[in-house]
Amino acid sequence: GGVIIFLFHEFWPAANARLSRKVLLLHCAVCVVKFSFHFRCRTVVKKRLVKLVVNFLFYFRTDEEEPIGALLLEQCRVEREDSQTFSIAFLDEAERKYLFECDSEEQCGEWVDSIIKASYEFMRKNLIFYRTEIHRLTGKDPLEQYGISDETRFQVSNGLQLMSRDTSSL
Amino acid sequence: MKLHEKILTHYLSCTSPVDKEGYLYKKKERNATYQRRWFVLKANLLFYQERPADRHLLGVIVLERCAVRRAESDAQFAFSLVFGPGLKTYRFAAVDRQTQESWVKALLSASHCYLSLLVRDLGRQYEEAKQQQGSGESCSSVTALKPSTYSFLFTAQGPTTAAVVREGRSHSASTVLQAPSIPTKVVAKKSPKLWPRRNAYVTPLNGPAPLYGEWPLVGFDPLEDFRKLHDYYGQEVKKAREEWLRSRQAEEERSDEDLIDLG
Repeated sequence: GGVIIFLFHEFWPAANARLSRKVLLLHCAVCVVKFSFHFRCRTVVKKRLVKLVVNFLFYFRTDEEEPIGALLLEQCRVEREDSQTFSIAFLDEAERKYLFECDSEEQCGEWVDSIIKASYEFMRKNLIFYRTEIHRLTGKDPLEQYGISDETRFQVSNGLQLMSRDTSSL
Repeated sequence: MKLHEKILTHYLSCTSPVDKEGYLYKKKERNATYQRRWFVLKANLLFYQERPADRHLLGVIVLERCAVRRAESDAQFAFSLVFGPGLKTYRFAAVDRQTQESWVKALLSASHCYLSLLVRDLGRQYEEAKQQQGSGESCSSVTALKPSTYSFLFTAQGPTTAAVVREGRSHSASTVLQAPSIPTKVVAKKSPKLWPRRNAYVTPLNGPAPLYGEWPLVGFDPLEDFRKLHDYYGQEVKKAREEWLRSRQAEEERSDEDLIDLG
């Protein structure tokens, strides 16, 4: 959809302007990452600059300021393919994997780690874990002091596997 | 720019938690009319479509670097998402005060940045609590969560000191806790006023920017000090809360008007 792209673009300029700020930019590829798509047997290898911003992975042509595309890093599986390559597969497209070839083993490891930790759902699970544990250890709910203990998004029940949502309405 | 739509729509329909959903009126800037849309808030994303049954997604707003504002001058029970100079402002209206407050509160805590700071802060508190407990316990890795263990809600129990907890080691981990009854002196159930989201890197959208020295967090790394950040803005909230309570009494004396002029 054209509308989604338009709306999303509102986010990018703000993000772009603050790329040096640690808060927004979690990880930036200083070196170029080779970016390849596996579509059935055909592999297209492209050199791209990849930037991780909150739970999105932006990719750029190496000489351009505006991103070509963005991937939402939720509901995806990040795997190490070999010492220098990692992949991202989205749960709705099991056949399709996005492969990323890094310059070094260390860089590859950092990317895998960063992408996993960038997921909002991953962070939410951590929060619920800490909340539960802190309460168990101290008897206090750590969210109370911030006045957010009744927020839906931080409820302990969200850490459980929810029942399948009925997708027929969507 | 290509935003891989399938990934977005999949995330919308998958089993991850829905943080809030419901009808809201969204303002169409071109002709200043409001259109009813079905909104779904998940993580830091605000999806919207015409109806819940629709397959076609109309749009997604990424809730980063935006302020949530009440905007009573636009329409009754109105609020907006302000992204700053040069960027679009999204305007909404709810059908009543409760819905408005509920959405404002949900949107205020929706950003990835906010959650990131909160997780870091809690992570630190967790490490401190573990150290106070002693090193006898085995540390469970965060990445090896067993969600089935956490099948209870929290309670705001009476004051328990760390010493009591240590002695009470015999308490089983599966103790079922009751629903919280939050003491009113600690926290209000509803945030009475929304205040502009700010951080030390961004000047406020309204009013003159305070002098450099007046920002108490200048020089602090907010990533290390969520609590200070929260305390500082908490004072503002307290003041705003009192203001709101006063204005609310005045508002309720006004007569009922048509909610929104769709004409």
